[in-house]
Amino acid sequence: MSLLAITLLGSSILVTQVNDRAVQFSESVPYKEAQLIGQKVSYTFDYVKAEGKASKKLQFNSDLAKKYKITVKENSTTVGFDDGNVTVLNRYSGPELNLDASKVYEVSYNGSYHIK
Amino acid sequence: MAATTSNKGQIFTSDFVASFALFSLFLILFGTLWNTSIDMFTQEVDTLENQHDYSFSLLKTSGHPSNWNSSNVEIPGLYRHSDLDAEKFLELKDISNSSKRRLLKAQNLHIRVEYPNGSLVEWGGENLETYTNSGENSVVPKNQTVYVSNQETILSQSSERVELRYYTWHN
Repeated sequence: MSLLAITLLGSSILVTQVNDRAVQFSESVPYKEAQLIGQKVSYTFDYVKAEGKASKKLQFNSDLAKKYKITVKENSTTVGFDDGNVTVLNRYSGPELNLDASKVYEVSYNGSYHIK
Repeated sequence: MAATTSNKGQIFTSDFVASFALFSLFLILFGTLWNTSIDMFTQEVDTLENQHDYSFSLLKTSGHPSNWNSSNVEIPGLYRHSDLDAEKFLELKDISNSSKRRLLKAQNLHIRVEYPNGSLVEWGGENLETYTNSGENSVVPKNQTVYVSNQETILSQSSERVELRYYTWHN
């Protein structure tokens, strides 16, 4: 009987800890996704600028956890979601751009940026 | 002297049930914790690995402006057309460590150009090697994760076959 009681006590503690960990992890998913999106956007804009004539497709994962609002500004890309936002530095210069993570873009640079 | 059923060995005692339940519980919890930890670790690695790959891809471009120098550099691409430009590498060496970190978005980095036999390439009396740390810290660490990329290429000035090697790591 005492063994059963110890089992139940131990299991309740462990279940609580696992639950806390799972919550912590699920909360970090949008942040990490936003970070990866920000990196990709900044890199794509930097790359076409550095390559000059090259154009590059900008496409995101189709099973993203959240809807993200992507804003490309002078020197930074901000990816916003419900609970916060992530900013990644870039070398972009031009008017502010708002992108949608569910769409596909073609980015090119020829003295200024062009997006299709 | 017939034995009663209660004297026979039984598998399903209460102790067995409790211990089996305990074992199963620990097994399930271990599996869950393991999967969660692996997912968290993988995401962290993805971010750092992407950063490294993106920086290396930018190094393999002409950079911006295309004839950049240490004072006007925006993107420090090391190539001219499809060949590695030693002059651009020397300009990269002139950039301060903090600017190198900012431009290549890496906490610690080491870039070198080697001949196929592993010896360091020299141009204009200088080694084609640069890093963001000084002294012992400039050495690529052996006991932590280091991201490494390399590309075989041609040195623009001498038309020799060389290899560009790029290392990044985080403290």
